[in-house]
Amino acid sequence: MSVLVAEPRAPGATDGALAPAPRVRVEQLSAWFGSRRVVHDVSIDCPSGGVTAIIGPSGCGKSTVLRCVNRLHETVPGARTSGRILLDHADVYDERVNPVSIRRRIGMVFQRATPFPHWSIRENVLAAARAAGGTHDIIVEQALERAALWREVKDRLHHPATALSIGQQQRLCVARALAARPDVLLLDEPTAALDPISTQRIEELVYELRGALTVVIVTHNMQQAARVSDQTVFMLAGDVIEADATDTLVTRPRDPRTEAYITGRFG
Amino acid sequence: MTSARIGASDRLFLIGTAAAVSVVPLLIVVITVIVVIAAWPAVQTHGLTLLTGVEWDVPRQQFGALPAIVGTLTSSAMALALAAPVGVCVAVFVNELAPRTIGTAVGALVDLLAAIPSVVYGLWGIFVLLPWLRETVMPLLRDTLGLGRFALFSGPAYGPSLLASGLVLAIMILPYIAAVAREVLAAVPRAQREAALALGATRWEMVRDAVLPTARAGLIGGVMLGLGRALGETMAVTMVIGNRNALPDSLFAPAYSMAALLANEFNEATGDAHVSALMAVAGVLLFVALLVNALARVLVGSVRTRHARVPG
Repeated sequence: MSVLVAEPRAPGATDGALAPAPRVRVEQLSAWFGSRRVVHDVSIDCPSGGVTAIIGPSGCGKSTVLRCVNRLHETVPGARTSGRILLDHADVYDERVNPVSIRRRIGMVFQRATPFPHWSIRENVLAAARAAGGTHDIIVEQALERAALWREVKDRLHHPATALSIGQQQRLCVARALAARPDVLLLDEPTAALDPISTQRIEELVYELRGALTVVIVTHNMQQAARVSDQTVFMLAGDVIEADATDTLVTRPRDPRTEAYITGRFG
Repeated sequence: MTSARIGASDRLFLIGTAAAVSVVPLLIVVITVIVVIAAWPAVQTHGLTLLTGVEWDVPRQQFGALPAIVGTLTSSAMALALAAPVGVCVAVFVNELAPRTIGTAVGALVDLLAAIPSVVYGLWGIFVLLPWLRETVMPLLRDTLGLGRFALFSGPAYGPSLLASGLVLAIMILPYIAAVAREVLAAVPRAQREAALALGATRWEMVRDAVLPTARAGLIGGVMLGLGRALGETMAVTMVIGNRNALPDSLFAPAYSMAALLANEFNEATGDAHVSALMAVAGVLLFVALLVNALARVLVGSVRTRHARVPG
């Protein structure tokens, strides 16, 4: 069994139940692919333990912002960023910070389910979970339970992950991310490839995670943002147009472009 | 143009290309059939002794090709054992670790190895590798490191040997293994890498847990394509293996390979029995090489198609 994370953590130090999840602050963030600037001086404040939704049409830079938070953007050849992203008070772009250690505090789930195809369900959950404490059986059960997948897979933990349906694979990816006990969870259009029932499961899950984790979810689905988030940020062409409490933004948008988007006139 | 004429031109195009393409499988069939027909008398006369006999004595009409078969298989296996890890490491370095400029340069250099004609490898073997083996490597392995206690590393250091042949073959197949490995690694979807990175994997953990396992079948296929080349390589092997028709009892011993045997004897083959026996050896070589190549293609193909379907 191969495990990604080998580094032990101080007991309790990052346990969501004991320490509050960090506030994530994006400050003056710009991001480039080569010479093309896809994010312009974006600032977003994600409160501790809250769910922040970033909405906007395809290509507006919302996924790139998300991928900057765990420094995944820079792994693309030619990609770079400027600005700061603070986890509480520590800049994840500080020169002394190893991006690997940042990514171990921040879980991420992608648009397409990405289980390791050569590993079993159990092995996938444990991929990054060695340091999480407790026996492996407990970690696996808790993580799958939180991802609302346990009852469906408990009798076939040793089956290959690819034998699951796409919706189950996506919840497995959520369980895999949660098993590493992150402080922050990034969701990049997590339901875009899913059927309605799987989508509902994921949304319920996001709703239940509030408080324990700081969640940032990127979606192009306005209704989804309204259902799961506390605050919503609307992006267009690399700029933040409007950010507000979700209820306010959905019902009384200030900017005509926001209104046009949420009423379905474009995007 | 009427639609009928468009249909006709398409059909003509199809027939034309199909005819050209059908030449390829036809060639394989024709070659195989000719070899089998020509080998048939020897198979009838000698039967299994062609494969199991150790005497190859033309005047006495004894045709046992076991030493050549063993020589081919062992020198190829040695080449594989040396070149496979290096080739995969080259691919991982070039594709996954090195900055793009350095990676491209290293990749191009390794590819250039494939452009060197095999006779040049043979000459290099004779004038550089063999003296070096004779004077430095073999005494070092046998005496200084004390490996002479084991049969594999014992015996006089002539130079021409299984070891020399394995080394030359390793260098010759390295670019093929590396090239296929690079292609296979590049086919691993970016999503798979990002999933590992997002979980906090280091570069090495990402390669180990996400890239290599996904690419495994293709990597094995690449290695087997290299094996296919090693099995059939003739010129360079003939020049350094020693051409001694006896079962090798040590890596230092001169040996023979099927390809070398054929190249050396076909010109002067006298009598139908001799030619037929050589054809039988050619048949064995052909069979092994086709088998290895076919298997390799299947394995490499499996990675490509599997990940064409998996959402990237």
